[in-house]
Amino acid sequence: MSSRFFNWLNAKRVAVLLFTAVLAGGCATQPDQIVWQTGGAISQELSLTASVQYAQASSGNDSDSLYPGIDDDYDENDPLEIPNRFIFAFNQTLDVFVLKPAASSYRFLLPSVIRDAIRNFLRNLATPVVLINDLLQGEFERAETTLARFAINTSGGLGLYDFATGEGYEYHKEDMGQTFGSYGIGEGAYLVLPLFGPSSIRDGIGRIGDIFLDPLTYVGQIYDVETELLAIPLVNGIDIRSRNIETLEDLEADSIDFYARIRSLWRQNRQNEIDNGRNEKPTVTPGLSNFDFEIEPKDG
Amino acid sequence: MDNLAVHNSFTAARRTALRLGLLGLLAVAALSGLAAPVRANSEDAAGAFMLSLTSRSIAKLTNTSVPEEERKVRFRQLFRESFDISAIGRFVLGRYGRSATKPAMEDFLATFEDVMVERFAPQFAGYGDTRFEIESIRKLENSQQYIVGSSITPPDTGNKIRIDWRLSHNNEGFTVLDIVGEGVSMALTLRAEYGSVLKSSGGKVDQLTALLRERIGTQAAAAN
Repeated sequence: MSSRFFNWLNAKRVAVLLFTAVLAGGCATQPDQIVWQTGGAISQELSLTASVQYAQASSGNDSDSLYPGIDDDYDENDPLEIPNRFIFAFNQTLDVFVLKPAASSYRFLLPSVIRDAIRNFLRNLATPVVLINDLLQGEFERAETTLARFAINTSGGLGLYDFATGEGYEYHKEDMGQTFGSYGIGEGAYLVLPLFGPSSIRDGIGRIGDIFLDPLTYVGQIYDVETELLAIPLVNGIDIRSRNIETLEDLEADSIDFYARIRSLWRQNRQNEIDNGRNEKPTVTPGLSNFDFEIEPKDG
Repeated sequence: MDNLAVHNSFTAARRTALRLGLLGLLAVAALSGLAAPVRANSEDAAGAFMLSLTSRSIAKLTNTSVPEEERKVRFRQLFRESFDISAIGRFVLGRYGRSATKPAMEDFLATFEDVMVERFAPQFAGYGDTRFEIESIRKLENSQQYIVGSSITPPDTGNKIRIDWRLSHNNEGFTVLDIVGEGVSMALTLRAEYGSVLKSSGGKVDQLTALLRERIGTQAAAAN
């Protein structure tokens, strides 16, 4: 099926991005409410047909829910919506006039090999922050992956080429907002940051924490090159934006409230990042999943 | 022409669909008398449904020689057959759907279907080589819902995307309730967006419908 079709859903790109004029990825989220595991007895409601009564406002308030736990009380945790919308509009203006043109030129002028090398290099530079957060989350396997990637890619080609993925060490990102989230700290409230885009109180604080975790911060201070080092987040922001030009256009095309759409996408994606994509723990069905021809009886 | 392209284009999905067909036969045989474990079979049936849906989508929608209007017609047909539009529509309206009048609701559901067609149908063109794999299937406890975990690898980027399909099962078979890409739910996102619009317009579903109409109208015009 079409990749663009799924881009629409693909928050990885979506959330990282938007107006993140500079640094990638923000932080935040919460959906404790999204309780995937708890199946409710809601299948009857789901087979509603045209013959069903429509006006039944007095009935239970999640009778029409596809998701147990997503009911009328579920909201987007956005008490700061008015200032957030204002900053969102500001970011969007900035995107139209500065970031998107810069990203388009970047993509047009540089061949993809060079752009990938730049991204690999920047990711490699960010290793300490990812590694420390892996460790803070007790994710030792992922920490090992991060370390292995650094060793392989640095020694193999100064971080310009990603040899490690071929060796089975795929890239992942971590930040302090995710670490807080993994400790069960809620997002506080949704927050749109100028330049950086969607975030939350928790993740905004995490972002500051990450600055202190980054050795480059101290390198900048010692050698007095802090201004020059701003090129790193700047290029990173342009690179990420350049990889999401069509995705964002598609996303906005049929939107009737872009702010609300981005808020929801970002919050869900953030939760997924905190869970490291493991909020679904399905049991694998023998026979089907690996396309064997045998159907093995299932226990229980 | 059509068949040829289809034959050339989808490989993995087709092969798995064939295997699945076999599995399906086995499952039927098992159910009709052999008293095999029903639960496992119902999960397999959910997987069979998904493979059938994806292979039909690839066969009918990805061929670039199909005219855009025809692609939309085909997509609409698949969408109606395979998605529970009524349940999804109702979910995305949330509380506001329950106080909507019957005509307003019908009008919304018809418009919602148009929105989905305009949005997604054009995007299938040329993506016949996309690789689709089922990675897990799970029935939710105390529910007739299933989650089929899959990965999709588009030919252009080669980056795997994780997609979970939320299915509902009743006597007539399976229907799709939601598509969740990398942890992001389509239904939930639309519910959030539409809810925000409805909230600011005093909960009037008619107004939302009009806004959506306007949106797809301009979109269709822009595409031409």
